[in-house]
Amino acid sequence: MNEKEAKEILDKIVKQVFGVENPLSLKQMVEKFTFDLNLPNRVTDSIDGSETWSSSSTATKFTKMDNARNNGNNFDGLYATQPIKDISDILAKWQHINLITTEFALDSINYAESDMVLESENVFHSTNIIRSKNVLFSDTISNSEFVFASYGSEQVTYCLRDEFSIRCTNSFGTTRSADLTNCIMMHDCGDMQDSMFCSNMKGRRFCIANMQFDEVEYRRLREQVVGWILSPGS
Amino acid sequence: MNATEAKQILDKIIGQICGYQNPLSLEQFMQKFAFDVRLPQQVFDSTDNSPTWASSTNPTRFIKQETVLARYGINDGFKEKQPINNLNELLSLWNEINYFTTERQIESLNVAESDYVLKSENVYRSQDIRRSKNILFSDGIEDSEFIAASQRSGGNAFCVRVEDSGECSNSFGVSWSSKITNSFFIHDCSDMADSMFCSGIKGRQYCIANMQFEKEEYEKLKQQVVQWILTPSS
Repeated sequence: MNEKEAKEILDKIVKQVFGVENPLSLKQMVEKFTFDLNLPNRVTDSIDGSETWSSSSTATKFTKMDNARNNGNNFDGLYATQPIKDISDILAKWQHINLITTEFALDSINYAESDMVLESENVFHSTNIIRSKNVLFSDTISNSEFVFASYGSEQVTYCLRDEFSIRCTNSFGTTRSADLTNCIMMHDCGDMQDSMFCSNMKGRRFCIANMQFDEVEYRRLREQVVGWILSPGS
Repeated sequence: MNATEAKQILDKIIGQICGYQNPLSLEQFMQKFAFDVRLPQQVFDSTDNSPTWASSTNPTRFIKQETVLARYGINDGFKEKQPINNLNELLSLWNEINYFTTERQIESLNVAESDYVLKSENVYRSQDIRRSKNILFSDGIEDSEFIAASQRSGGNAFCVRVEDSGECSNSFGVSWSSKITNSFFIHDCSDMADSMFCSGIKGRQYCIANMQFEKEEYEKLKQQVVQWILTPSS
């Protein structure tokens, strides 16, 4: 996975959610939509000095998962016992092995600039991604596909800026919601379709700001909203 | 749930893990051990200016869940339709309902100063807590009991400062690990018991800094470590 592949996935998400070609570069999308997410940071591997990515914001020493395995010896990481008299001795010994593992991944393929990726595929610049595919610049996503700039969501597909939501598809800016389809900017909603800027509603279609519209009016205003969302300066 | 009840739970957790009475106040504990955990922040309900607790401070306007239920319970949040001619009018109408719901909880009991708590009980100053009991100063905890100052973990009991770990008990300072019991400062380990300051090893007991010790030596040094952990200034 690299920036080019990430951009291809992002363009696919934008096309699916908004129905238009993505006019923004990867850098523009990241600056515009990921400013408040905790994403992996670039750090240095303390063992070999190479660049790596960690989701920890407080650790000071890091090592890549490959280097962390066995702590550099052939005895399952166990060292010959040395005498320890007091807490100072313990902390001195701990200093040698107290490295935070970076780019941690299990049963995953094609991931980059990411940490804590489990049973996932095509993951870029993300952390805590579980059983998901095609996830970019996101934190804590599970059982999802084609997700960008999202946090704390599960079972979502083709979503951008989806936070603490579940079973949403083709949507943008949904927070704490469930079962939304083709929606934009929704808070605390459930079972909604083709709606925008709604809050605490359920079971409706073609709603804007908690008001019922007909499909033609809705589509006309949606076009303006999409243009606004994807304009670099908005 | 209030500060007194939270302190009782904290004392129980510390007593269980360390075998000592907790010498720290609730505030001292939070400052010392939860400094890097994302916790709910106090904000003010925009409708009545009362204090409330939100998991995100990015939004600028907040509303308590109880206020939402009273306000949106009428007509399911549905409003009478007004004409929308352009994006500015739409955003103006969105502004009327665009509040971030705070102290959100579903099927939970005895929760205070917390946000986004699902099917849980006895939760204090925490967020994103699911199916758990007796949780303090934590973020992203599920299926756990008696947890303090921890994040992104599940299936744990009686733990302090557990991160990205599962199936741990009676432990302090565990990260990226699983099946850890009666242990302190463990990174990237699994299936360990009665060990301290270990990294990248598995299936051992009475280890310190990745070295094997006898039970008597281990217990002697553990006393020093526990006192060091619980010293307010350490």
